Amino acid sequence: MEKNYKKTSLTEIILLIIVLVSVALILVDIAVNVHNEIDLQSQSNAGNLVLPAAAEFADPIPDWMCHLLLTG
Amino acid sequence: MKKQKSKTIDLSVGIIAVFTFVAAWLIGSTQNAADVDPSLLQVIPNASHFDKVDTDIFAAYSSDFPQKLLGYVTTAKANGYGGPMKVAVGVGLDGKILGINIVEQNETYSYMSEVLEANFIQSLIGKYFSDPFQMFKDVDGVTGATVTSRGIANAVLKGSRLIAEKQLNLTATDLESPQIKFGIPEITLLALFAIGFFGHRKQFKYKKQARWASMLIGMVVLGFIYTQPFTLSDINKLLLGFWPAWQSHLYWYLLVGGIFFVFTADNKNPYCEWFCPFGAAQECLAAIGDAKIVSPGRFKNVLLWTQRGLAWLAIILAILFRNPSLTSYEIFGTLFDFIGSTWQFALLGLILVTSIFIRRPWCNYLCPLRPVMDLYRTFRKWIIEIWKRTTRKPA
Repeated sequence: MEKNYKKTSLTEIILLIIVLVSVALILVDIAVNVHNEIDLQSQSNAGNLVLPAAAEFADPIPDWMCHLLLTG
Repeated sequence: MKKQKSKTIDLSVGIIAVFTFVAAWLIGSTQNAADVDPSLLQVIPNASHFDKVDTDIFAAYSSDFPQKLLGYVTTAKANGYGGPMKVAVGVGLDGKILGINIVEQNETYSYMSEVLEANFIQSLIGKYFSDPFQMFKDVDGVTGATVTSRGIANAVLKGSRLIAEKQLNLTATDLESPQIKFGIPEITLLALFAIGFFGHRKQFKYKKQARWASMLIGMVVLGFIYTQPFTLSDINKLLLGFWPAWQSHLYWYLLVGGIFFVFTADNKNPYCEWFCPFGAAQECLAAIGDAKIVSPGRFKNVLLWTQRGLAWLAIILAILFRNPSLTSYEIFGTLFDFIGSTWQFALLGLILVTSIFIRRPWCNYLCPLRPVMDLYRTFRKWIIEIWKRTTRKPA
């Protein structure tokens, strides 16, 4: 296992950058989810979580991807 | 010496983490539950006022003079994908469902979105308490959000039957007891556990072939076909006590129970290396690009503790908000079900491209399950050491 290790400082830096960018994306995603959850809880408390609230939910597939798929 | 110091740090941080989980659980449990009152108006809109007639049952009256009884409202709970859901249901004097409102829920946004967009809740209005509410039979299930839609339907059925029996003196035939769900995913999972168990043995000649077969089966069956990988939300459900009915969620018990059982008994993680669908996807890409294991070198500790910190944050938030899937940031569903936010698709792209050059970047540096397993391993060792110390005979 150890034999496969390849020590290059440039590789280390690239790896660090990739991980940090990923962590940033994850944190943004968590923040958005928590924000939506707080919003959703306040809607629930106000008794508004019936059909009109549908627009408040994120689309399963982002708009840009729908566009990409439809237009090829 | 260095190893011993690292062990002590791991154990100390692990104990602090457990304390913070307990604190978050206590804070989360004291949060105010959603009010029911606003739901009453929603489920019987013509009603002008409500009187409590029984525990959690309200009679709804019109504004006419003399007042006319329109029906009854109650709340009922059932399990969805993210744990218990509370639904307010209004029933007319003939046992017909007049309105439904979700009072509390912990579902993943995309699932709930699909349920709402499919007009699932509206499709239940007009049904009778005596209807069987069987998914894809008399109730249109929502493909891709089956568990969420089934949870709502079960709660509505429970609530409407409660009103019918307690207030309307109507009786419905007994509900069929839940059937034990045992199918292809469960059989596949057991087979994969068996392959992993025997494949680990030193004397087993075909370890490499068995591991590849196990990974590919896991990726195709548990990933692409059924999309049931092990995620942080499973851990959160375990911690929050949102344990689903075993009959309908046997897979969950086999998966979570199996992993922890093998880990406890054998100190081996049977899942990650042998049949994690996302791990297998990364390994396939690694095989294409001849990816190497990259040592993080001097960034080793930074990356290790970043991964652990991220997992800790995700668990704390899930416990605080009482929502197991809220912060489950894995991108498994994004790959296998094509469901996710823009951020998740961006992350998935980055990870898949990286996997071609670096072996298993997600598993090694980002997956929240690795820190959970590390914590479990640390406590396991600690308990064994204490046990040995206490049972050791004095010389």
